[in-house]
Formats: sequence, C-alpha cells, structure tokens
Amino acid sequence: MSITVENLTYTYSKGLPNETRALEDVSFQLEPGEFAAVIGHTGSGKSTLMQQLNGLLRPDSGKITVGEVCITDPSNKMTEVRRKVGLVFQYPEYQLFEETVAKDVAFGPKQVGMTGEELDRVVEESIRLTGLDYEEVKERSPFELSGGQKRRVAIAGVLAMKPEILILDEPTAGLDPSAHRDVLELIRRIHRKERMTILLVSHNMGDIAELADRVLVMNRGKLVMNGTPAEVFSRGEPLWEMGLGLPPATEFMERLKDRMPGIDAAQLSIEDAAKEICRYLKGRKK
Amino acid sequence: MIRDITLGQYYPEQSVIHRLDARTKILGTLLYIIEIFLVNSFAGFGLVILALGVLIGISRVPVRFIFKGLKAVVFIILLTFVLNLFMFDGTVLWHWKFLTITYEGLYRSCFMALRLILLIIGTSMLTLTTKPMELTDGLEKLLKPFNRFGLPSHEIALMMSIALRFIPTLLEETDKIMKAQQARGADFESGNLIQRVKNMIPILIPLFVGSFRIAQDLALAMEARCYHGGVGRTRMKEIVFSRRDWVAGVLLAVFLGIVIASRWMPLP
Repeated sequence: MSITVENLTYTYSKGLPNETRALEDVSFQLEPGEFAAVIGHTGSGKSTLMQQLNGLLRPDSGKITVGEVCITDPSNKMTEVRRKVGLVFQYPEYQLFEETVAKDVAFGPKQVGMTGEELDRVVEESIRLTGLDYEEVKERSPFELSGGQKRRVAIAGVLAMKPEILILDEPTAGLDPSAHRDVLELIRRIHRKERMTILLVSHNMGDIAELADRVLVMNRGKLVMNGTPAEVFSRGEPLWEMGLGLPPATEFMERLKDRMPGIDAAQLSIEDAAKEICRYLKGRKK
Repeated sequence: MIRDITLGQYYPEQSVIHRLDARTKILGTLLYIIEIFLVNSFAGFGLVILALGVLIGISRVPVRFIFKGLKAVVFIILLTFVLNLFMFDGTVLWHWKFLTITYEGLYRSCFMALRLILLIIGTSMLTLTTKPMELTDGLEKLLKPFNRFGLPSHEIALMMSIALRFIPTLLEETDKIMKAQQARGADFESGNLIQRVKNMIPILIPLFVGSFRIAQDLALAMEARCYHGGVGRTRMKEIVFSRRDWVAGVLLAVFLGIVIASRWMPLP
C-alpha cells in the first residue's frame, strides 16, 4: 500500500506560550512494499510525523493519503486507518498489560472484530513471525519475559492487526546487541515475507544503510533530504551539521580518503568497503 | 485533551507575586481558604473576587489558563450545585413530582458553587506562581517548629514535591500509553459507563507498572547522589523574607480584617 503526504504542517499547543512548530510543509511518497527510514535528531519532528500517519494526530493543514483513502478527511473512520497502518511506538513493551502473552497479542485484532479460530490463528502467526517460540511463551505473563522478548511480543501485538503498512519508532532503542540483531532480523523478515510497506525511525545509520531502500532526513520539522541511502550518505557534511552521522563503513571510508586520495568513499556496508579498498590497493600496485 | 489539566502546574512569569517568598504565599493561601469560609454574603464574595482579580492581574497569569484548570472539577461543582438545589425547605419556586426547588435552595447552591470555584481558583494561584522546589522549601520551613513533636517536616515536604513533580510526568506517560493502545485499536470514547471503565484497563495497568519503574529509578538516582534525609542538609538557595513579603503580609492582614468585618454588615 502506498503513502502520499502533501504539504503537512502541524503545531503543538497552538496559542500557548510553549507553542512549537513540529512539522512544516512536509511532502513525500512511498511506493507499496518500499522500505523507508526516517532520520533526524531529537525534536526534529519524526515522532510527530509517525503519529500523523495513522491518524493519532491531525494536521493543521496538508493531506495524507494511504492507499486510496485520504486519512486527513474527518469523515473517514479512524479505526479502519489504524488497522491498516500499524504503529510500533518507542519502548512498546511499556504498553503490555494482559495476563498472558497470547491475550496481549490478541488485544488489537479483537478490537477490530476478529474472533474464534481466526483470532487464535492470527495470534499464533504473529508471535511466530517475531521469532518467539509460540508454545513456550503463549501462557506466560509478558512481565516476566526479557527486554528483547517483551519488545517482540509488543511488535507481535501490532502485527496481529494485519496492517499493510508498518511504522516502527526506534524499535531497537535500549536493547543489547543480540536482541538488537533479533529485532532487525524480524523487521527484515516481515518486509520480505509480508510485502509490507515499512517506515523505520532509527538513529543507527548502519542499520539503515543495511535495510532501507530510501532515507528521509528531518530537520527542525522540515524534510530536508529524500533519496536512496547511497545518495543521502554521500552528503556527510550537511548530515554532521544536523547532528546526524554516517554508517560506520561510510565514515571509515571518508576518513581513509585523506590517506588514499581517489578511493570511492560512497560504501554503505563493510563488505563493499573491503572490496573497494582491495580494488584501490590492486590498482596502486600496477 | 489530558494535557488540559492545569491543576498543580507552574506558569513561568516574572511578576511580583512570582517573586514573593513561598512562605508568604502558603500562609496567604491558608488565610484565603479561611476567608472563603468566613464570608457569609454575596457581597463578601464580591470583595474576595475583587481581591483575587487584582492578584491575578498582578501575577500576569492569563485568565484563560486559570479557567482551563476548572474544567477538571466542573463535575464536582455541578454535583454540589444540584445536591444543594433540591435539599432545602422554604419558599417554593418550582415543583415537579418529588423534586422541589426553593428560593433558599437556589441561594444556597449558588453560594456553595461560587465558594468552590473561588476556592479552586485561589489555591491554584499558589502553584501557578510558585516553583515546586520553592513550595517545598517554604513548606519545610513552616513545618519546622513541629519537628519537636515528632513531625518529619523534611520528609513530608519531599513527598509533596515528588508528588507535584510527577503529575506532568504521569500525564505524559498516560498520553503515550493511550496513544499506543489507540494504535492497537482501543477505543476510549464510546460505549456505556461499564464498558468505558473496562476500556481503561489497558491504560491503568501499564501506568501502574510504569509508576513503580519511575519510583525505583528516582530512589536509585537519589541514593547515587548520597541523599540521606533532611538532617544537616543545606540549600543552594536560602529563602529569606524581603520587604515585599512584609508589604504582602500587611495587605493580607488588612484584607482578613475587612472580610471579618463584612460578616456583621447588613449585606445581601
């Protein structure tokens, strides 16, 4: 399912002394099945943008179209929009509340009217999709799981609503390296298997370089860059100025360029960087 | 929506009222509460409203902002009004089956509602113009004399300041959890009363778990900075009475006199 955002503008606490412009004239389009990443430092409007996309916040002006439906049109039912656009908040494990993992995951689909066998099947599927052992966790309390497991249960809770677009707000924040890898792997699997359109907010440039087809850069409420990871990460200077960075491999290559003039620094992964260095060294021998 | 609750919030401004010693303001608020209950006529309330109006004017807190705080307690005010309305015998104004409105009841309910509204607006001025830290410091100093009777004044003040400090944090947390559950299809706006209460469970449980987490983090952070209670603790900002506090004190005393005098005046 595609998303089209046109001239979106939003202001917090309008008319109060702490009024802040959170979004200013933001426009972009995502194709069905595309994997896009949003970067920007704290307070740049990323989270506000995410909440606009599933109708939790309403824009002051501008238009958002999801698939065929204009979600900023007040006559449209928000529950239907929220089912289609799954939103995983930051630290989603804090929203767990049920006695068992299976019940918690079932909360969302139940709200949209699923019952009986269909419900059970969806719950099982979603838990398995996140890489958890369904038989082992289904009857356990979500509060006794580990941090990484809790987060996966929370993600399963959103997946169980069978969204066609999945938005994740820093899904790996505060996880240890192995849980971090698990969650990334899970996102990649969802993207491949379910052909979902994915929008990922992250501060980890390495992850983005690895996963995303497209990078959107937010700065002070404005969308300042929109391109492929190779395009965006070739502009290190402006990114640094916005308080952002480059993927480790790209940064390494940028530094190497001082010592090895002529090397192509635009490498996103460690493998590509290694290949480029080999190519460069071989060329120099001759 | 949930952020509209202004009870216990601070409104940053640079007015004389803001700069008064917290002790003056606490005592002033206490006096104000006593005065509200001393007043026995609408004219007396007129006096109180006048004084309150002047105070709000000087403090430069927008009136709109103050009234937003009332929204949270509208239900209580209405309940008081309606209960008082039907509970008094006297000259009948209106009658329908078992419901009777009397002149005395109407007078009484207007009186009570006005008293409640003034009480809330007046006391909210204290927190609107005083930073929570100053408030606690002031309270601690005021309670100090009671230490010899075994009253843990420092601990009481600390508990109060933590409670005040965490109102906005918990509201923010509630807002976040509500949004997260809404994103999972939860609906908080429709259904009958029982259904609505049931719908609160997905908010209340994470909020409850969250407050334990916050409390634990806070306790740990305090211990890491060697907090060990009030004994021998010094302050970065010592609070001292200045000339404006004496002026305020005299004004408060004069006003108390006027209010007491108004009780014996033949006023409506």
